[in-house]
Amino acid sequence: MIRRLAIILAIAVASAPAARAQSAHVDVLPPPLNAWAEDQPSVSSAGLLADASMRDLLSNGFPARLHYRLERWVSGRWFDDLKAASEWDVILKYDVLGKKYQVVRVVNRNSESLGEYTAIADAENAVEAPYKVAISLPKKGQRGYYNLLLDVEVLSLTDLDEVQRWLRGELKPAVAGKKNPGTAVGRGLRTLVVRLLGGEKRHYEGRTGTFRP
Amino acid sequence: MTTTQRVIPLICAFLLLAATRAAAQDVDTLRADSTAERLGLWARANRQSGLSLSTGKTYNRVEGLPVLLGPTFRDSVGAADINASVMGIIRSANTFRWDSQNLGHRITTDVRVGHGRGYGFGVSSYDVVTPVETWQLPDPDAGLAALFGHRDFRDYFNRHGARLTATFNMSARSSLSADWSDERWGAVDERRVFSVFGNGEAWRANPVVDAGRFHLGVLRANVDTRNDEDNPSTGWLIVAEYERGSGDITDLGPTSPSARVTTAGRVTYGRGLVDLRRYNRLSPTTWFNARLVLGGWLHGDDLPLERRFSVGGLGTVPGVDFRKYDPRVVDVSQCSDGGAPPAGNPAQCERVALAQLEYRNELHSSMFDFLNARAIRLRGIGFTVRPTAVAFVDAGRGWLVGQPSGTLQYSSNSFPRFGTFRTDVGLGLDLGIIGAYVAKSVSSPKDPANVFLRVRRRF
Repeated sequence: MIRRLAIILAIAVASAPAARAQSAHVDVLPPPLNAWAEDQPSVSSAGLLADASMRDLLSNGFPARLHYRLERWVSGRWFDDLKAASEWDVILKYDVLGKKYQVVRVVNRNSESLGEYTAIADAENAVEAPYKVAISLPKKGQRGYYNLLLDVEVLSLTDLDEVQRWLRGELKPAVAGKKNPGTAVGRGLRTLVVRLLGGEKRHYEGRTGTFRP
Repeated sequence: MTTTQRVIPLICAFLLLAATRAAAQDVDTLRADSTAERLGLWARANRQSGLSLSTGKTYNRVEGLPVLLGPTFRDSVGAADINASVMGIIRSANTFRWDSQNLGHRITTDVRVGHGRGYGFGVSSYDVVTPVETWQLPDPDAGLAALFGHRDFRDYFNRHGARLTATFNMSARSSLSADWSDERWGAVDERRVFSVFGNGEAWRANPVVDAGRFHLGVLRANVDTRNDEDNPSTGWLIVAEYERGSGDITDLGPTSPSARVTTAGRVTYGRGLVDLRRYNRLSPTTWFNARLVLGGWLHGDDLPLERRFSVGGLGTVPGVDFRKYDPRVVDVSQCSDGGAPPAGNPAQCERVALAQLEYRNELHSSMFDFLNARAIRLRGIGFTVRPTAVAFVDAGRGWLVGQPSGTLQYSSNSFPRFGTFRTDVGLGLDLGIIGAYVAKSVSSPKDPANVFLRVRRRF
């Protein structure tokens, strides 16, 4: 038993570098010349939409929503203080008729198109490209750090909506006698479980080191 | 066991997992289609209607898995969003047997004006099974413990009635609301409900509670200044509730002799509950969080059993065994006087106090780097893991209000000595979606440590 555990642990540790290479992550990039008090940081990411199931959903017309929240914290004597926060969304949707991926950034209810792309990889690059965040700057000498929270999800997530889609979509041909109802029911349940278990909602965090401008 | 009997529990398990995960995601916080509406990027009419099938997002020894089926309708008129649904409920207990305890309904209509600050009105009619103490444990934890471990950490009763609600939303997550409802309460029995482990064994009895008709007025304040609902690093979460109930009890549930003097008939009571949580960040990777719960009788007659309190177990003081009965020992967890408690050892306290402190430290040990490298996969689903070590202490107890007597009953304006509280200390490893913990009782040092799992955070 111990030997088996040791083998599993060894394989896991050995595979870590490979896993790290293909891992999804978000980063808060420092301003040029580390001028923390003069310029805002940028946010970039990689591999967020690389997962096969995520891409499958996107190509079937389910829009993805990436909700970012960048926070500026100040280190305190006892507790750290949240001094500022900035939130924005990036929406990625596949236009099935036009066969194009549309990318839009939404800040304060204002949307800005980041382009339309025929290849998912190009759309992914647009989503993940560095973005300078409008957030208030720290004062000189104020010790602090930035913390980034990112939730990636596919709209919309309520189980009611999901089952409605299932009833209208996959189950309908089965009810009409064009598909095996048993298969449709099984597939529908599987889809429901997979989607609701969180396959399309993922949480990421990134941080800068502590700085003193 | 027939094939159908075997398949139904599996489907229940599937749906429950889906439902509990959905609950953990707080799907309701994302207003459906809001982004599409804002962007106008893709055509989708505001008006939506259709047949809906959903779970009650719970699993317990009374209902099994409640399945909701019925038409829903959504529309918006100007700034007002309108939601309506007429849902029938069929419960999986006793293999979806078609009987009165397995059937219910929930009919709701609500109008909300404003997406942040604003107001709303709602009216609903329902025949549902509800937990006695919802403040202790979130639905996912309670449901998964029942489904997998054959342990149900809640008691339940039936509510059948109608409610009017008015809400003033101070922000997307903070609100003041007032409810008025006319309800008939009744006791429900535990039934034959599937569990993955221990299936077929007897469930803990669901205690018999008071039956009768009640009119309830509830004022509720919900203030949420946390920076993140799922993984808060700073801010307050304050839930304060005052309930004034009056009604006629037709059948009294059994209690310990000291727990009340009420006889069946007219009762009027006032009850309050405050759940205060504060989240603090000490450094980029360490947090110190605190929770204080105070609740109980405020005025009038004795509280009905549906409105009483307890501490101990997974959601409060996990080092103390849930609903454990020690003969001839005064029980400050459930407020029994040492004699044999009623079946199921129900919550009988009229007041309760609970304090929880928690220190969290995100681990950067290379031992866990391979976990952080990419999302852990479970049936094709990825979860990002951020291992965090947790150290915690808890202290809590309940008591009765009346003529002071020993360590169980206190006058209405006094508070028990801290030395009488049930306390524990513990350690855990929180992996983001699930955490494993061990808690050891300090107030009862001879009791062995308890090991338990929680979905997401403890509070």
